[in-house]
Amino acid sequence: MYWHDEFESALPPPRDDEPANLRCDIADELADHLECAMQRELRSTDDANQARSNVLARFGNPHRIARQLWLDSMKGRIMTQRILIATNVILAVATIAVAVFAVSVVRESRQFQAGLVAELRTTMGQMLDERTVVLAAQPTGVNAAPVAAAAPEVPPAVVDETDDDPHERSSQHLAELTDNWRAAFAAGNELLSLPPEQGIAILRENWQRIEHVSSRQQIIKAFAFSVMQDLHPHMIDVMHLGMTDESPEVQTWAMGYLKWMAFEDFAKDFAGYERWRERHEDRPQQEVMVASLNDWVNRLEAGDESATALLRERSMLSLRDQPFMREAAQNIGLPMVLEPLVQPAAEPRATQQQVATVKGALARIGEMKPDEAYMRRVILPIVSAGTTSPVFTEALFTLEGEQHAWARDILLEMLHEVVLRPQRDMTGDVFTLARVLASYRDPSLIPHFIALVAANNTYETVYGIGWFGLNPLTGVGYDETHDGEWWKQWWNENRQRYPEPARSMAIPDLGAASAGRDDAASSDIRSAGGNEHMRYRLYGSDADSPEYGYKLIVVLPGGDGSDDFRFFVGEIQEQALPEGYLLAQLIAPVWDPNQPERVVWPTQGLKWPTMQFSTEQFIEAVIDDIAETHELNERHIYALGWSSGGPPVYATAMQEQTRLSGAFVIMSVFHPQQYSPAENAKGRAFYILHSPDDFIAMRFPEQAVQTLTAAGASATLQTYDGGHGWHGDVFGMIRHGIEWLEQAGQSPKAPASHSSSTGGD
Amino acid sequence: MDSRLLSGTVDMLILDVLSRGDSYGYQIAQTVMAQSRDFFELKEGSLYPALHRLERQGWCKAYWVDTSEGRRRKYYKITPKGGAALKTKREQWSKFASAVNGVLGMNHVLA
Repeated sequence: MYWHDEFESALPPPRDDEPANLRCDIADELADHLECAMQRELRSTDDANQARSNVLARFGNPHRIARQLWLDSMKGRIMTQRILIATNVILAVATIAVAVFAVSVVRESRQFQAGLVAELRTTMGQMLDERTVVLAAQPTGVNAAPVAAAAPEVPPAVVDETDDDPHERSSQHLAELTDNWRAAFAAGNELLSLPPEQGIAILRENWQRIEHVSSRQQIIKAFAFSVMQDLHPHMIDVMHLGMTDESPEVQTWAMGYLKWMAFEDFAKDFAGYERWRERHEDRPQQEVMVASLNDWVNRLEAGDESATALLRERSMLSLRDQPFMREAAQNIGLPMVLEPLVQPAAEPRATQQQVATVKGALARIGEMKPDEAYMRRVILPIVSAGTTSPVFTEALFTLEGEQHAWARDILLEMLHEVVLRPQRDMTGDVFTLARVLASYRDPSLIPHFIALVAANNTYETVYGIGWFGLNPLTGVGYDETHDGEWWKQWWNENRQRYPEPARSMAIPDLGAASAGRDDAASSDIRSAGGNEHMRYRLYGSDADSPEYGYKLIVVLPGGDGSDDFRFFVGEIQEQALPEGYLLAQLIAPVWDPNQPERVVWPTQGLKWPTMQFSTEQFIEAVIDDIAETHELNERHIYALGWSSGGPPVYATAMQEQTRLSGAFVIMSVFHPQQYSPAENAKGRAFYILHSPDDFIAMRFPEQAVQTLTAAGASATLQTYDGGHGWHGDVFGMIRHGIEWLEQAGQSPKAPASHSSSTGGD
Repeated sequence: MDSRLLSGTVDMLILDVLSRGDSYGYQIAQTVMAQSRDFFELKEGSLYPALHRLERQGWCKAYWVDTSEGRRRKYYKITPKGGAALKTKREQWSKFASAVNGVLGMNHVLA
């Protein structure tokens, strides 16, 4: 959202002919890209400022690009407008010229006419005089002519004046509408401001006179949006104008808004609209809405797919903003009907459709604002499942608002967990938790927020907690320099304006907790074979040696492969590994400043000129090094690598001679031309995890499975949702993969230079 | 890489990515860079004017999706017209590359 705000100021001032969604669409698209890039960078650095610089260096100037997109989109309209302006100017000049000419003609004409009239009068006067003389000479009674009358007077012109009548005014506005969407929307609001019966009468009367499709759409929209505040009693009647409009585009808008009233999607069943309308004819609008809600809930409970599909709407404003609808929903039992529908969220392999349905159900729950008992029963289990739930954010949002302040301590503890023990990209989780907590308007949260910022001091907390958590409670705007120390200083200077107990609260010291956690990672940096470039961390060595020796996972992190991944890798060891495992995290050596950007883990097949050893040699050296001090179970030595760490894992596991019995590869490419022949992998096991949404195409892991299976290895591919990165039940997926490897792996080929230790499962 | 060589090929790269499946801007940028092993040193943002132009030309169409992070994401999908354009561009590129290699005496590289 920070990126999004930047674009609004980068664009030129809004124009009347600008499409309604243009700037929002541009900002959303570019902000999404930058946010993805930011998440990528933050995997390899804790320095948020450096990450941002890297993102912008790769992206280019986002303001310039946003302006260019806007201009490209508006080019046609701007040119059209310029042509229109030029045409209008020419027309205006021509009109003025014609008017001047006409005036002069009229003036001359008047003079001419006046002259004619004068002559005529003179002539008539003479004629009358003559006739009088003649008649006077005539004998009376015979063809006696009337006495000449005086020339008739021309009555003065009567000028009509029009009264300033709202009916006339609104009608005129409607008739004059062009494709200016703002004017049309304003005209719709003008009708809304009139007494309801008058407003709907004017609209019906003038609907056919509204020439432009976009204007009719905007008027429908104005009435539809009345659901957010004072629901217009004829909103359904206005939608009927849209539904019976000749333009399918107007109908489409009306259908969209009708979902909030009819709880049906008539786009899928247009004829159903007439049936619905007949069913509810002559009923008051509120009654229609409640009856429609009731029908929908019944269909939802019966498992009707069209009813469930409607659940996946982003928002049902009538439920959200109309108290009578929320009350009706409670009375009808919608919360109870939704309760089983959110259960699939707990399933680790929920499908995308199931997840979308759960999100919709959660949105409806949030709109209805159920009581604490319901929320504890239905929502807290989802939230408590942790940040790996695909609907965690949506579930959290249902807890927004002071009425849910009972959840304060639970969510605060969760925020601590997310910040101090990060399991994955925590950006969205921190933002949402901070925002929901801030909605409780509890100033005693301020010291806790500040403590978390101070303990972390990355972009996630300085911005995420600073803006979403602290700003609503303090009024202090976001600034990237407002780190933990700044906020501590601020608290000391400003705490007095807050009531007790907040005022007396000290800022907790979480620094000790972080250090303790680092110790708890139970790892130390070693150098394999004494080679200072072959650095690795060893986890789990404190545990007692299992009967047949330790099983071993050698981890090659993605990104830049640096030691920064130690926290996440430590979590893998604690949460994902079965008992009896050691974990070795390799730290990618940096051979020269250019190398990490190009090849993080150079191999025999993808060399780097200044490298002193290949990653295959590094892995084998680490295994040998560990074997010097720990008895290893040779049947269960695996390498695990993700993203940039994937290819070297393939390369090592496909060597002719290796101590690896299997490999676990996640979100990675597969380049067989860089590896030893696949036949070497015969008898070994490969577990491959990949998301179809990943920018790395599915054909890579699919080819890997195909190639390795054909060569006699055991290989399987599992997918997950979410794209490149760790998403969903991360540690569950890792554990599952290791268990598969244990069962699928067969005895490795005996390496020539090593002796196998006896081992069992 | 000499940027003049890249001129005119961005559309083809984008359409090629889309021909393998719907995608969004960031993913397209990463795919191009991953598959070219970063040879094309494109600024990621430079893709967007091209994407929007392709959309206006009718070679792809776009739709919005809500992500799990609460953002809107714009996906692009190649159209039949775009597929035909890609085929033409591939043929043109192939002829061009072959002609240049012929002049440079590098035809054996294509074997």
